[in-house]
Amino acid sequence: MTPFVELRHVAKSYPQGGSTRAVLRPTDFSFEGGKFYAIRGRSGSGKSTLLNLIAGIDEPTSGEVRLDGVSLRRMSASERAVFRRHQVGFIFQFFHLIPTLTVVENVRLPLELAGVSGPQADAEARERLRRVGLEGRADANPDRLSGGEQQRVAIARALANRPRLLLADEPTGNLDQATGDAVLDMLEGRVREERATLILVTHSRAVAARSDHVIVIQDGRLAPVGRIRRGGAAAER
Amino acid sequence: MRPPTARTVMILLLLGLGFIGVWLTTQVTAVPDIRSGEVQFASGGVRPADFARVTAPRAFSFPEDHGPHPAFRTEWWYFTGNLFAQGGSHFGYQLTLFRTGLAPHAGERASALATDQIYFAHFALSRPNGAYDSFERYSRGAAGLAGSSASPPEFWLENWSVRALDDVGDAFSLSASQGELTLDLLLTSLKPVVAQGEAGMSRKGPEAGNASYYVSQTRLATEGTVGEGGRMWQVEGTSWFDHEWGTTVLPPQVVGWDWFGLQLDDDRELMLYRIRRADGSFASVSAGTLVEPDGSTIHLTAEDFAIESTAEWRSPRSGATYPSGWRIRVPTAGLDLEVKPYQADQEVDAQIVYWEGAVRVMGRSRGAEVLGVGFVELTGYAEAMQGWF
Amino acid sequence: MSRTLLLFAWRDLVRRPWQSGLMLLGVVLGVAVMVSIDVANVSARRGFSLSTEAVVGRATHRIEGGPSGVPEAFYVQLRTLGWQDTAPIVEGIAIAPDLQDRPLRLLGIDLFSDAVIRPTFGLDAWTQAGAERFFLEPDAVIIPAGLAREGGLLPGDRFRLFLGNRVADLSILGVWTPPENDPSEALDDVVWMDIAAAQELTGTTGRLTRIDLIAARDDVPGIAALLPPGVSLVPASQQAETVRQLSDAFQLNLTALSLLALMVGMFLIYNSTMFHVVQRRQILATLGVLGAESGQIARLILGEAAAVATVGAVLGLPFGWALGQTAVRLVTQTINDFYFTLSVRQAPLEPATAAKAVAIALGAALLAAAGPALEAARIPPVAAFQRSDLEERASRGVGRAAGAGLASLAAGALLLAAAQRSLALSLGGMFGVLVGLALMVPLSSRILLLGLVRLLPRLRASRLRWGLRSVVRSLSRTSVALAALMVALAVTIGLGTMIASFRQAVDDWLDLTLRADVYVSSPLGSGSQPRGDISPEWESRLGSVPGVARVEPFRAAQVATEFGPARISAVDSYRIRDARLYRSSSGTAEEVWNELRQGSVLVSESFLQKHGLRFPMPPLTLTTDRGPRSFSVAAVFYDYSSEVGTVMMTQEVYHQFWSDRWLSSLGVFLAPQASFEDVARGVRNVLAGTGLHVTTLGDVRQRALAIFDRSFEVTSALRLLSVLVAGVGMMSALLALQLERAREVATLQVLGMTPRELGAQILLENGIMGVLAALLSVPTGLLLAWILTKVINLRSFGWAIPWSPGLEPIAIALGLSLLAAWAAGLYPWWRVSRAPIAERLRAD
Repeated sequence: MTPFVELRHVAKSYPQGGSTRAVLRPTDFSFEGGKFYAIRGRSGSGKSTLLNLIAGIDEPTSGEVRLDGVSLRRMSASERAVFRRHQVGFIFQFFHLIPTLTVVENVRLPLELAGVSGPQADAEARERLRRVGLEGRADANPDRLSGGEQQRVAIARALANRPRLLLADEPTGNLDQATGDAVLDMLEGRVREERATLILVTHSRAVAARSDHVIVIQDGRLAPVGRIRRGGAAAER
Repeated sequence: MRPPTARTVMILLLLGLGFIGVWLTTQVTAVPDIRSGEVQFASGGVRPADFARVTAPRAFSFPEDHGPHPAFRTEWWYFTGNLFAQGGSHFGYQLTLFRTGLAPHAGERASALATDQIYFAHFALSRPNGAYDSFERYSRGAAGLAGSSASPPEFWLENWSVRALDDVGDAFSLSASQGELTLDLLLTSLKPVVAQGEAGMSRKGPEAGNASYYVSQTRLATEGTVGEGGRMWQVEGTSWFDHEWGTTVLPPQVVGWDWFGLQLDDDRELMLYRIRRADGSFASVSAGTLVEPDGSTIHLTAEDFAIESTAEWRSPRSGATYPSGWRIRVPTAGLDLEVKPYQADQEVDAQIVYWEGAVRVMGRSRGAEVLGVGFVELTGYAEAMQGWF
Repeated sequence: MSRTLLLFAWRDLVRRPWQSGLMLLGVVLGVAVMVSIDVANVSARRGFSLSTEAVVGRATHRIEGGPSGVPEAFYVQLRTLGWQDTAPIVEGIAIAPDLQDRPLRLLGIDLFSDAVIRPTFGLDAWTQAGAERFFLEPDAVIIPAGLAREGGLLPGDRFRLFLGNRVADLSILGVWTPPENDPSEALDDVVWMDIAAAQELTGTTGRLTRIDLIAARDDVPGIAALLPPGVSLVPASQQAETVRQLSDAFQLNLTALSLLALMVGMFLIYNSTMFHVVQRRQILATLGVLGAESGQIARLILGEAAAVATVGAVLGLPFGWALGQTAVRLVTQTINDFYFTLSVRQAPLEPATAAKAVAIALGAALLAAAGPALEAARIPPVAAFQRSDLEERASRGVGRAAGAGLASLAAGALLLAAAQRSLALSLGGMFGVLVGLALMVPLSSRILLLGLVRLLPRLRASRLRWGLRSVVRSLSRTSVALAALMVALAVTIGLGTMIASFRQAVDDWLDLTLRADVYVSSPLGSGSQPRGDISPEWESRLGSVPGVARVEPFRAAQVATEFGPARISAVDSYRIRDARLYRSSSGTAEEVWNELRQGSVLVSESFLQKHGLRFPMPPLTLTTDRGPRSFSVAAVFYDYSSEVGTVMMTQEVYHQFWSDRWLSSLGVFLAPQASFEDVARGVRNVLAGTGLHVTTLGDVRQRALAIFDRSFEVTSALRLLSVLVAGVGMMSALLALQLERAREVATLQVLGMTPRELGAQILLENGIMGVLAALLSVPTGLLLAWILTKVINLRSFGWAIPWSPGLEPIAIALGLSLLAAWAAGLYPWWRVSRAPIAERLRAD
């Protein structure tokens, strides 16, 4: 199987004081399509940076990120945006809902960006909300929702265009156990049912346990730590 | 992190604003250093040479010669007198009209205010209480504001005027007022007009043309009123009328002159003048005239008389020091006189500062006791008279 | 105050360079505008009082006559009666063609008597060699050093002056240098001449323009008893007072405008400070949690505002001064056009002006920051983390502001109605109305936008709808800036409409009054004041030019009426004037004119207004050369040429009661078949060498309108400046809003919005804001225009102007508003496409 996400000598460093701090050392890595990857590591180890680089919202200091065989480096800002709108769903730890839009409008936004016309987009958005169990709050303002509800809206928004790549940055970090599990079920469902690729950053061992691959970032390098069977226990060192 | 450009832009903007501000405020042009309000005149103009000069004695005819002589540059009509109210309190008065010709022959002008004659006048009055005031007025000699005429003889500057009561000028009405002071006098000449100096020619310097014509009425019986505020005095006394004209230039070194006009109670009058140099010496052209009771005159030269100062007075206003008492001797006339001012401060405070004061005279005339009054004029003590005459 | 707390405040200002910079810029501009007008007004006023002082000198009274002045014999009479402190003056207005047509005052003086009244020369002057030529030479003048410097003139040079209908070739006899420490700039536009020469030059032998005198109160009856008919004794201050009052109205208007600019600037400070507080609610709340007292936080906010205001004010001073140099030129020009000859050489920044500007800026900034400071001090730490709380507070504020606005509106309207003829009160009333409407902006904008949102689902314009929603949500932050922009735009529309209406009225009026084909006038008539005298012989001389059908003589002169000075227009009796020229009349145009021919007069609207009269009115008493006479008033006519008020009569009546035979201008009518070019050439040939101007109807009209436009240059400049200030405010508010939304925008980019789409969205939202401001400003602006035309103008100048709103000012307002709004979007747009998304996601 061809890798869906491919890192070629990708490195990232930030200026710090007079020198630079390497967050990612030159790394080669491939993420296969249709798999659930869990990324783990200490705070500041570069987990979010990796996700941002894959989403094309940050640029590597060297090397290139290839998505579905195409180098992000070759794309313009607009092309990357268009790619994201169709192929990538991004879920943030702090939800990042648009406060000036209602719940349903937040979900409708990516649909409309992808060219779905008004009424159809509205219908589809409501359907997505129904699936996350929030059809009743469709016309509310996001800041009237609880954290779990907000994250479910964020997921509905991320999944609106049936993206082939799901990027989630600590999606359950701010949620209680039960809500977190429900959110994870939704994301994992996409991988299993629609063969999407999910790359999920987490601190939680339990969350990582549900993934196909666990990757640890340590000293700026990616290290696969084992294969997780579906529903099975972690085979971790 | 924010793009550093924004902060840089702001800092540059602030710096720019500051610099432009500083630059703008330095653009205020400095006001150039200027001298006090003065007019810088174009060069060229009328020179005294264009006026007629006095080079030889001439015959005078009156009333014509009471009037102006515009061919000459300078002319004055000088009335001074000692007046006494009942009880003997003394007033001294001076009313002088000066004429300065700007050009000997000016063209016709449409405006009645146009003029080639400038008049200025001095009016001074000393009172028994020791008060003394002097005033000065200037006017163009046009439209009736100021002027002089021969028929009838009249000399005036606004409401300071002397007007003849007859056609020949043997009697005058003199009137002047300023502020609270008023003077209204009737003057009657007791003697014929005296031609002073060398048959009417008075030398100011040795060179020809530097002289003036000088005629006087040396004794005019005077009566009238002096007023100050609400008070009025009936007065009587004697006046002296000098009329002089010419285009004179004071010789170098000369700073002024001393002039004496004394009326003695033996019915004689003595006029003396001496031209004073900067070093305090006197020019040889100094001269005088003795007028006898019958009106006949004796010309006196510098050798004929001696004047010695016996006192001094320093003016608090001008700072000038004037002689303030004299001993005058004219041996050929048998005169030995003590002359003292009625009051020390009779300094005329005008554009030209000089001393012109009423004096009393005591002494001997041909061996007999004699009393008298008169006027003394001292010029060039406060500043040299050069440039004025 | 804690050092760390100060550090926090400083870092915060530096960390938001754009917002801080714009806030600063707002203060700089506001202060600069205020200072520039103050500099111009103070300089003009100082110039005026200097010239008054210099000319009036120690004089307590002046004796003046009608148009032909005072007989010189009266002066001689006064002097010989012993009135010493009197000085005769023959004055003429002249133009120096070699000094860029500079208007100069020719002062004919008597050197001796003048020295008593004025310190200009003193008696010393005449004793100098050369002074005698001042009396002797009819072409000798003395000019002030300032003028000599400017023209590169030296004693002995010759220079030309246009005087009435003649060109005088004069010789500079002397150059007068003012005394030290007395710049006497006011005398820089004077040329001195001997009084006799001035009489001859101006053709007024036997007459004086006036006699200045120093008279004690007790002297007045004695002098008054001597006055010949037509001659009056007036306090010296009276005429100065009259012109001062006139130009005061003009300057008060300017001051009001500059205050408006400052008010807009204050809105800006309030807005910026409020924004600053709102954006830092969480941080401020955190400070509160850490134990900062509410007083400390309030002081911190106030301190920040004060610091920005002080820096802004200090930076604004030099700019204000620089702007003031231009402003003073415009102000002086207008004063010269309409009021009197004034030359202002220097416009320094007076310490008082600077102190006032800094104090006002500081005070207003503290006042503006007081609300936000209290707000910041009162934030309960818990609430600070909830946006909804903020929104609730905001919507409560909307209601309260609207209530206050209504009250201010009512108070303003009441003041306008009650102000009677007081200009200051009327302006206060106008401000009340304006502030009231500004306070209602948060409510009206909400209503307007929510209405649109309701309407839009049917339109399915979802982007637009989203944008509208966004704008509504942001109103809590932007409504103050919106109000400021609304006020500034309303002022633009109001002034624009007023000026356009005014211009239209003047244009129509010119149509009615200018009927001749060719006009002959003195070159002195640069302003609306016909100045300079033309000999009456030209009426018949021009009449004999082939092709000329008729020549209409016209004379304008100053006379005394029972109500004060007025201008007399003595016109030909032949041509019956159009009925539209009359505001009110006792009959038809023919009847009015017949009454005029029989000795009645007409008064101008401004005369009526200025003296609070109503038509019909009792006979008007004028001081004629034959003594006081009463004239019945047949009609009130429109006249935009004089604010003093004009009395119109026929030439015949004028000549019956006044000895003045001079003319101010002549209108030449062509015979039916005559060729315009031939006649114009013929007239020019006849007038060759006189210095008289020959102007065609079109030129006269153009010149009149040019003067009109010139007099509104300051106003237009000010109005643009206040829009600029408001534009900066709007920009800073919108910019802050966009920057605050940085993470939201980054999120949208993550969701797949392209930079172009985001840019379009920013432009759309800012565009909505701009259109909104423009929409709100239109009714306010038109109301303002109505107040300006019907109330303010009437009360300041006595001219009623029809209110005729046009589209142009509105279009300009809309354009400016969109420009400001879009300009505010440029930087955020640039950032969207440049700065990495991930960075902005992390940003606070």
